[in-house]
This record gives sequence, structure tokens and C-alpha cells, in this order.
Amino acid sequence: MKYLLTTISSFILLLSATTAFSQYEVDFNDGSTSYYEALCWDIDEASVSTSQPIEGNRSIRTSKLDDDIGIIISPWVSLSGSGNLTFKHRIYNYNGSRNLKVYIISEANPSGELLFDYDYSNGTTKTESIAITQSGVYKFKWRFSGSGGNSRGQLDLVSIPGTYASDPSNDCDPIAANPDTDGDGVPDTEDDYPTDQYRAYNNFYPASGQSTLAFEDLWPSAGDYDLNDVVVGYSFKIVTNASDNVVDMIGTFVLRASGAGLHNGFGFQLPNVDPTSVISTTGYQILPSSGYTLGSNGLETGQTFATIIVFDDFFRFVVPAGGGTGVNTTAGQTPVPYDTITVTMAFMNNGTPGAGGAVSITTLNISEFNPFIIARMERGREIHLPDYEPTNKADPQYFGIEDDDSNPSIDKYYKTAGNLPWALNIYEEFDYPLEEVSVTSAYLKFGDWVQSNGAQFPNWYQNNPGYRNASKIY
Amino acid sequence: MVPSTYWAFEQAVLFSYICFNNQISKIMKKKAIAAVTIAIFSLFLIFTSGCKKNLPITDPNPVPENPLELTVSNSFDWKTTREIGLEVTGITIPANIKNTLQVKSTDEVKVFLKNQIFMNQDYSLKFTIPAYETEVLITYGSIRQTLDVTTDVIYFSYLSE
Repeated sequence: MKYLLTTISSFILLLSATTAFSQYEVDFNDGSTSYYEALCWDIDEASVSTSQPIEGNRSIRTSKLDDDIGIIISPWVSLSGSGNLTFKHRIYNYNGSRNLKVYIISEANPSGELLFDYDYSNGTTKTESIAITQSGVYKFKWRFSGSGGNSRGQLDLVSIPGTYASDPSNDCDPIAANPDTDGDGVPDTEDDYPTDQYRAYNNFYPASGQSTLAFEDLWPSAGDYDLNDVVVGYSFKIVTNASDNVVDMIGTFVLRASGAGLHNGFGFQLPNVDPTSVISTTGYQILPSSGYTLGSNGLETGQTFATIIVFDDFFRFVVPAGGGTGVNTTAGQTPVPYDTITVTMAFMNNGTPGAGGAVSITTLNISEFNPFIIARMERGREIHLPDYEPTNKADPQYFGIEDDDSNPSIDKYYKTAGNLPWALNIYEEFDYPLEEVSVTSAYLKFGDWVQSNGAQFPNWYQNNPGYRNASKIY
Repeated sequence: MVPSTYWAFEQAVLFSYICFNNQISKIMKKKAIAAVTIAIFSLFLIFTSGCKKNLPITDPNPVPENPLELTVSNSFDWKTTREIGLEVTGITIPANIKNTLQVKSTDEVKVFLKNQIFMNQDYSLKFTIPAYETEVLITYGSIRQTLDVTTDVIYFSYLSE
């Protein structure tokens, strides 16, 4: 007999362990009404209140039940088919007639099935435990009602036999089993590459269209500030994986104009990117005779950061018409079609990064890429945006001579003593001035923008009324 | 009307009377002409010396035609863009919710940032916008908030208040 009782007890314990179920428990002490609403609690004519809570420091409390009702609806919960719904409730400042009804709601029955109906006769706290036999995804609704007086319904310590199943990021709908065909953790609806486990998102810079780089190429001498000695439009498409690491980067460069007689090359550096993090680079246009030394991954060697030479000579691709100097900057000159060079860089191969490790899109920080021209095809004569650092190949003999006032000790680069630059990076497509027409003459708000330290007319380059002298723009 | 002005006006009226009155002698007319001439001259002096001149308002910071003459602050960075920090505060949630956070222009044409993040984690992110933008739209699934970007750091919370 003793052996039988022991066996039965052990079996009951084992049964309890194997049938143990989850509980979604809420005591309303963790935050404000907006916090619980963010978790998909629907709290109508009620709030999470610190005033006379049932337990802890907060309870849900309705508005005055004077011909009003207070409704509290739980998030979706996945019920296990057994267990009890438990909660505490009372009427605060009891008077008049007050009632509480509790419903169980499904997507198929949104008005709900009545589980509990209680008429209050006093203001004492009650604890309820209601057996739940449903399985699947449900909500629970508490409906306090009454008339007259200033009583309020209160609810606290809710425990639901199931697991939380609402998606606050999807209109609080039940958590959906969104297909993820490639299994990379990004649902197909969000994945730009739903069948490629190594790629997830396309990111673009600029966000749309093209940005423009405009250079003066007489550095270290100041030029005429027509900002058309070299004009290159650009855009980047950066492909990332589910972990926001860069897989590929495709740079598109549009060679638009060169008002100079000088032959200039163009490249860019990616600050913070170890050159060994790049697996390969293709699409650049450099003749072997140009003298650049490239590594096996297509990057320029001898550089601390990844450096790409996009083209060696502008005029090899956009050739002046009729054998003249300059292209696409002089009124009346025969326009020459733009040329486009596309450079593709691989940072990962089938999920494996380069030797230097994965590069996150945050580390890449493409908006801070460091473009430059190589003036006169002399490698050491780089011209960068104002205060952007030279690469390892820049020749320091050019710093601080003629009009250049670069001072590396204070991180001042490529600016005159009056802080004028030799290059600009304009976020949108830029209609550059005619040959030998200064940017201040063509763009009527440019000077205001500069002298206001950028506060006025940050969109000086746009084609708005009064912003341009169109006769001075190519 | 100041006394000197009144006197000039009086002389002008008298002059008119005398000129158009044929019964007044020539000598009287000549005296009248002289008096009116003096009156007109006096009026001229009054208006040119008694009034404050309306001088044109000079621009304290005129924009020169020559770019080499622009006054450029040492701190001016010449950028047409701004970098904005985005602080995302996670919430404690009894489920592993992950969705795509996007920062867009308010017309949703431009996407400045796209990251997949967990709802229960904090994040410090950055994105770049044209310097002229003053607002952005942040979406996280069905959650949408428009935030002012006139400051360098903005804060996104899943809570509605």
C-alpha cells in the first residue's frame, strides 16, 4: 500500500512537470498607461494609476462610472488549453450600482464570449480564478459599468494561462509567422533579397538621385571659383546583411564636366575601413601606364584606409569636342555626353568577411567618404574637400604654399587663409556655373549661406525663385 | 504747421491774390513776386534741413561679388548635409519583437537609414540628411513618428507620449 501511494505521488509530480504551462502575468507596476498601451493593452476610459492601488504601486483604474464604462483589453495571448485566468478587482469609492463583465475574444469572434459577470455590493477587493479551456490566440476584455456617484473600477495582478502573442510593431496584431525563405532572420516582406541568406537590405546614399562633387584644380593656387574644373556626380548602393554588415558597395560616378585644360584623376578613401576588409574591387578605369600601384583586391597599396582610384584621366572618358580644352563648361561649345564609371567592392563572400573583419554600415559611414582629384595626374597632388585629410600618398610639399593654408596640427586642410575651399560636395545634382563665372555670381544665395555659417539658405543650390542667375549656369 | 512754414504759405496765398487781381499796381506785383520767391526758398531750406534724411539701411554683412572676398568663419564646414544622432529607447516586452526601423523624408521618397532592430534594446544610430531638412518620419513596422531634426540628436520612443 505504501509502495502504491509513493508510485501514485511520483506519477502526479511527473504529470505536473510535463504539463507545466506558461503564464502571462502583469502587475501594472512597470510603467505608465502609455507603456502598457505600447505593449498592446487597450485601456479605454481608464488609466494605470498610482491612486489607491489594489497591490504594489499601480493598478488600472477606470474613469468615474457615472453612466460611463471603463474597458480594459489585454494583448493577444496564445492560450495553452488549460489553466486559470486570475485577477484582482474592486470598486473604488463604492456607491450606486456597479458591474464587471469579463469576455474572451478571438479574431473569429471579436465581440467576445462572456466568461464572468459580477454585480458589486461593496468596495472590498475580490480575487477571481476562471478556468480556461480554449487553446489558440485570444484576448480578454474587462468591462466595468455603472451609474451615479463617483465610483471607479480597479483591476490588478492579471495572470493569463498562455504566452504573450501580440506584435506591437504590426498594429498589435497577433505575432505572425512571417515567411523567411532564406532563413536569415529578415522576413521576406522586409528582405530586399528574400532568397539570398547573405544579403538583406539595399541602402542608398544619397537617399535618392545623385550628389555632386565640384573641384577647383589649381591648388595650391586659388582658382576662379567657377567650381567646374572637375564635376562628378555620384551615388552609392550599399548592400547589407541581416546583421547590418556591408556585403557589397556599388559606387556610380558620372563624369559631367571639366573646365580645365589639366588632366585630372579621381579617387576616394573610406575612412575607418581597413583595406584588408575589402575582398575585391572591380570597374575602376586605370591604365597600367598611369603609375598607380594596386593590391590584389583592387585597392591602392600603401594606404592606411581603403583607397580606390576610380579613373586616371577625366579626358580619357569625356573627350573635348573639336580638340579644344575643357568640356561641358563653355556656352556655345558642343556638349559632350557624360560617361559613367561603376565601381563594385565586395566586403563579404558567402557570409565570410575579408581578412580585416566585417564592416558594419555604421562603421562605413558612407556620407563621410573622402573623395579627391589627383591634379595633373601627379599622384602626390591630391585635392580634397575642406578639412578632409589627405591620403598617405599626398605630397606634403604642397601644404602651406601659395594660397593653401593647410595646417595638419589643427586639422585644417585644403583651405585658404580666408577659409575658402577647393572643392564642394553638394547633396543633390548641381548645375555648375559657366566657365570663369564665379559661384557667387551664378548662385545668388551662396554668399549668404557662407557668411551666415550655413544658417541661411542651406538649399542655396536648388532652383528656387531668386536663387540663381540662370544666364550664368551651364 | 511751424510758424516759418505758415508765413511762407501766407505769402503764396497773397501772391496768388495779387497776380490775379488786375487792380493791383505793377510795383505791388513785383514786391509780391519777390516775397513769394523768398517764401519758396524758405520752404526749400525748411524741408532740406529740418527733416532727418532717410538714409538707405546698410547691410552689416554685405555679400561680395568676388568669392575671394567672402568672410568665412573658421568653424564653417562647407557641408550641404547634417549628421543626426538617433537614440532609440527599447521597452521591456515579453516577446522577441524585431522589425525594420527606417528614417525617411516626410514625403517618404528618401530613406536616410534602414536597420533591423529589436524592440527591447536601446540603440544609438546616425544618419545624414540634407541640411535644409527640418523633420523626418521614423517608422518601425506600423509605428510612425514625425520628429523635428533642428537639433543634432533626436530621440525615438515606442511610447506614444
